[in-house]
Amino acid sequence: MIADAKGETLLRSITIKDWVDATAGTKVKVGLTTESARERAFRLSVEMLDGKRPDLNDDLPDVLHALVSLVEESSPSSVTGGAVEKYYSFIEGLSWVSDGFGEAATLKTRLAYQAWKSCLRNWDYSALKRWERLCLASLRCDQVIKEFLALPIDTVSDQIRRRFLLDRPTLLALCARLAVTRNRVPSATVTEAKELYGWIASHFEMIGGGDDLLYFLGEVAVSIAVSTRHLGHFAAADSWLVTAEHHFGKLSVAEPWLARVALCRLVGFYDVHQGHVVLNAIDSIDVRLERVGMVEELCLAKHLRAGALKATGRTDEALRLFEELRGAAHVSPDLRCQILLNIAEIQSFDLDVAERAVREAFEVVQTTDSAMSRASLFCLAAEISRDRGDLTEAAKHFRASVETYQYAEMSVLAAYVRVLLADALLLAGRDRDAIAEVAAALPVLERERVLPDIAHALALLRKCVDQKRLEPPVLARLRQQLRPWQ
Amino acid sequence: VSEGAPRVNRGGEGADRIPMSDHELSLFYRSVFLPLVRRATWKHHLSKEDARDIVQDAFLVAIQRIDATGNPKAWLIQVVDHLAINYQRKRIRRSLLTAKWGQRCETAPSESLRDIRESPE
Repeated sequence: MIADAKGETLLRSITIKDWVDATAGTKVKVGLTTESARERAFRLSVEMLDGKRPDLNDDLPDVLHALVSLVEESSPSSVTGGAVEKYYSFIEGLSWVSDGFGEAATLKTRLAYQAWKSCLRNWDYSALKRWERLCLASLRCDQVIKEFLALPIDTVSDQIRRRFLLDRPTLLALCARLAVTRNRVPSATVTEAKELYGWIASHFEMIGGGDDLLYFLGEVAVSIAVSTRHLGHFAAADSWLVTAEHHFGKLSVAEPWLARVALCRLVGFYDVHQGHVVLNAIDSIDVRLERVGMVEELCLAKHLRAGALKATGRTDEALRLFEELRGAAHVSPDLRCQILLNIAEIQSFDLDVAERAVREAFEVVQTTDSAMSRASLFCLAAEISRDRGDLTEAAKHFRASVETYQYAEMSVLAAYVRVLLADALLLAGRDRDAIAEVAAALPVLERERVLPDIAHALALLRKCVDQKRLEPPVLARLRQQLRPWQ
Repeated sequence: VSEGAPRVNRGGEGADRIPMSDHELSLFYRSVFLPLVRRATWKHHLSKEDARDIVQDAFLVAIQRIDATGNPKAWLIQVVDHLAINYQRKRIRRSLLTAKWGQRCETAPSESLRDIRESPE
């Protein structure tokens, strides 16, 4: 807090009026001119690189601002990680007197961003990730930006967008946020990411282009593709991946990002029941990702391989891989949750083991805000309850799953879980409730047609609903056909 | 603090209140005024003198509208940013006009910073 001796904030109208009255008609001193600050910054950088400890005096904040500006004006290829590291550590170690406006954090954000940009151009994956984390951590110290980042981009005015989106660390933060939300609330992410993509694309030349903007365009396109795929719109997802390739392909170092797009495309094959295609191609993706050192993406690739093994009936191999991933580093909470879900599914022949995995996954999901993972967990918990014969509990969990998918605006998955719920209700002898659930699910499944081979099963089910008499085999057939997509 | 002597208004409105002491004014200078001037200078690429005027203008807005119970710091930053962006935009527009219409524009009547700045609203 910016406070006086009594601890009261100085930012009150009465104190500000005192200041304005006291300084009316005078030219208040403003410290170093920008030119002298830049000259001193240049000398400071030489001293720091020689290992000397700079003098701390009242002009230092201006000199540090100038130093960061010098780094920003250098070409990304000439920014060395070692130099930025020294400047960054120096600012971090400063005990900055009266830093109520967070200047130290601002300087660290700008430095970390330049280092990140340099890593993007000169390709150093682990340093890139580290600088991204440092940049975003300092950026979030800025209360104003933090409040902006909490707003969905599609809800803010064009004037506010211009004010914040011209700041590239803020764009990096938005891309990072979309990369998380695309696997949690895909529908909202699609809307927001499309707005952001449109804004960057239309301002690309005006704000100076560059590798970092190309990366943002590619990354936002990937977020749209992934969310669209979660919503079951596979053709649209593929066309956004083509867009991402187009932007990534223009980067100075394109291969890592193109390899990642190839991985995303393979996930699409898995989603439409083509596990064998995944297994044929995954080795080459692994090689590409390993070559560029993308460890987090390698975990995703391993998870995909395990999923494809499971889908093609090679459950022992799949389980072994999932178990390896369960304890691996570089696994995000969202992915860990998916791993536990898969383990529980494979081990569903032993309901106690499956239940333990689900419980562990519920603990993981609490550390995230993932509606999608929560909905899948409710669904699996319901299936375990159903297999134990507790149909009341099963119906309760299925309903929770439907509601959570609906909250995430994932109508197709909500409809799929309604089919499972209807199945459980039929088992419980509640035919009328089951028909109501199927009647609610059918219009969505018929409209969305996520998979081409379910048309016949849908037609049969529609006939049952019209006759108000559900036949369990018809329902089971549709359930089986939809399952791999889930 | 100032190149001239600070002039504390000890009469008029609020005369029964003791205005800020020199020590408090100095604290305000270091912890509020200078950081905002540096923000306007380095973030918005203004000269120190223009940044000073922007910050003083932001204070004039703040006297009327700041809410000390909310987040006055964030609010004040936004006012400074807003004024700095407007000033930059007008400066760019003026230089474009100058390039288009030549010298006549530069000698047009409203060329001081205060004249071309948009109202704080």
